[in-house]
Amino acid sequence: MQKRPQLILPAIALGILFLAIAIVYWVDSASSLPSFFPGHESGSSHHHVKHGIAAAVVALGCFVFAWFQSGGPTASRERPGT
Amino acid sequence: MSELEALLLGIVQGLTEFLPISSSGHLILVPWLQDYTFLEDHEKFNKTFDVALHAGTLVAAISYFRREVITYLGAFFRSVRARTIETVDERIAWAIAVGTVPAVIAGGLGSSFIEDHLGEPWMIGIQLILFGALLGWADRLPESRGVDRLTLRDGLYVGLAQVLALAPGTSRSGITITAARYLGFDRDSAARLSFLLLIPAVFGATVYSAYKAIGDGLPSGVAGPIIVGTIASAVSGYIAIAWLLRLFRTHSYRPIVIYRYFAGAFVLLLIATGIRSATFG
Repeated sequence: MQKRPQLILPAIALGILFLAIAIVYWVDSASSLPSFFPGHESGSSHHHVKHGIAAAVVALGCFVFAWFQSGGPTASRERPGT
Repeated sequence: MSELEALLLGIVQGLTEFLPISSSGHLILVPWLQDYTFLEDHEKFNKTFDVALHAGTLVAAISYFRREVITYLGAFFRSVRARTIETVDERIAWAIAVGTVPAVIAGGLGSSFIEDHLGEPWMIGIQLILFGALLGWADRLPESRGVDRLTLRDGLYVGLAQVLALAPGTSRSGITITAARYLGFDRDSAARLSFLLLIPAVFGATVYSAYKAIGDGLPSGVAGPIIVGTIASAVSGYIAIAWLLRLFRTHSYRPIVIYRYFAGAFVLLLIATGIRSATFG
């Protein structure tokens, strides 16, 4: 797997951003969301929990990507027959 | 709802979750054909029952693929610890993980739209035919590789195709098998990949829906039908996986495509002749 260490910081920053978005979705009702957020709805008390889950999954993906770029063995671990 | 009705819907769910003919579409069409509106009229019970049926199919898939599940989970965590993806098992595990992400994002963002605008019988009829034709076309392409040559990119492409299955009538297994066949996988590998992709997607959806259903509270007197439906869906799902994997080793997907054409045409004919309404509920 090709490593790109220069992408670690952007991936972490993006992960933190999406994690913050997820928390906003879980904490705020649809009417309190910023108007540019998908799911914003004036006067609605509904919480977009699933939107938050989607954002959290993207955040997790960013962190996992950064984790994989940040290290790993140089020698192949491929085992015969796997 | 009687135990017999729960048994029928459990069997329908178990068979159609793995047969590429759309389980969600059939769970709408079967009550629609019988003019059976109990589930439509009792939304809370409907949601709980739906979770229970999906939990049944999840049990079926995990039971059938128990060795693969253990192998791929082990490979997944080994790979995370080592921060690299090198072995075949690790690649398959990560392809399944990557393939699950698009459906989670699309399902999270579009669930309200799907519930409000999709799943009408006329749409299901059209999608049964349309995606059946697509499966028939993809199945004529050459079989050039097995699941051991699955890459993360393949997982992503199949996962993106899985997003289309959020619309009832498409079929989750149907569209993922279509995508895998288009990418050159043999029939057995396409079906295996499709069934393995079901596990994380349905696990997540079941945990979330169960959490919500418990929070909302269950109506009284529903334990019997829910238990019967779950067991029926698990048993019929297990049988469906075993039968389909054996069938697709030696046969094409043509019988499935023909069934989809007939089922879709039948639904549209009932609507066109006014025997049934184009919408339900």
